[in-house]
Amino acid sequence: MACFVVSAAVGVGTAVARHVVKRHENKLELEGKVQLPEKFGSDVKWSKKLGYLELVLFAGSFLLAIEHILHGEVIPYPPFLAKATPDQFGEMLHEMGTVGVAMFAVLFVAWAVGVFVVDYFKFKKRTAKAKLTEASVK
Amino acid sequence: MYFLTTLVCAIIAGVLWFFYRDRKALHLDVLTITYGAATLMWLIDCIFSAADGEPFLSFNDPKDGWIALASFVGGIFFWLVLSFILNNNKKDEVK
Repeated sequence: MACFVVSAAVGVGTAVARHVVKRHENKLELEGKVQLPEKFGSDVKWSKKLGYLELVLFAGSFLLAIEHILHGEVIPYPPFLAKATPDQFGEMLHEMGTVGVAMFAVLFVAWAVGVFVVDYFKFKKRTAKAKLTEASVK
Repeated sequence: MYFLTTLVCAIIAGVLWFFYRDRKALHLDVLTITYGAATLMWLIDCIFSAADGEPFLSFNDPKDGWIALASFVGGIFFWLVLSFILNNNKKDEVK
């Protein structure tokens, strides 16, 4: 019915958050306050990580929107969702709260796992390189 | 049916991404993520359908084939548009 709307709405929120984070990162860069990555997870910028979350949410919602359009559940005139009528509104909200939220949760977990794996490998590579440099200096 | 379609597309795109991972301009990561995200969302849809007593995978609806094809084409379209935007976005370089 409208399960993809939840992910699309969170995608809009993520886009705003990414824009704010990007501005903050650019500001730090211009002020010369950018430090070399030291801690775990600092190899990839947060704006890039949020960009991937945005992509996951919008891409999934886009393909599901196509399916809903072909099923006649999304219509090209207001209220745009076929089930958004007073008698079916509760049913639609229930589906958004169950299926829609579950879809978003799974996408979020998949993104978090992906970010953790990338951070882990980047951190491992960096520490190995630092140890090698230290050993060659000695 | 479209769940299986996007799953196969995600696997193929993932394999292509692995083999052509040095060719960044292709943005095969975008294609893999697009199909992967849709697969996960339809997986949840299938699980909820099964919980309601409906079959996990249904092939009875005659529209299913067209929807599967539209999902495939939609994914390719999304990838092409985003790749074009990403390849032509020089804003960061200027900065």
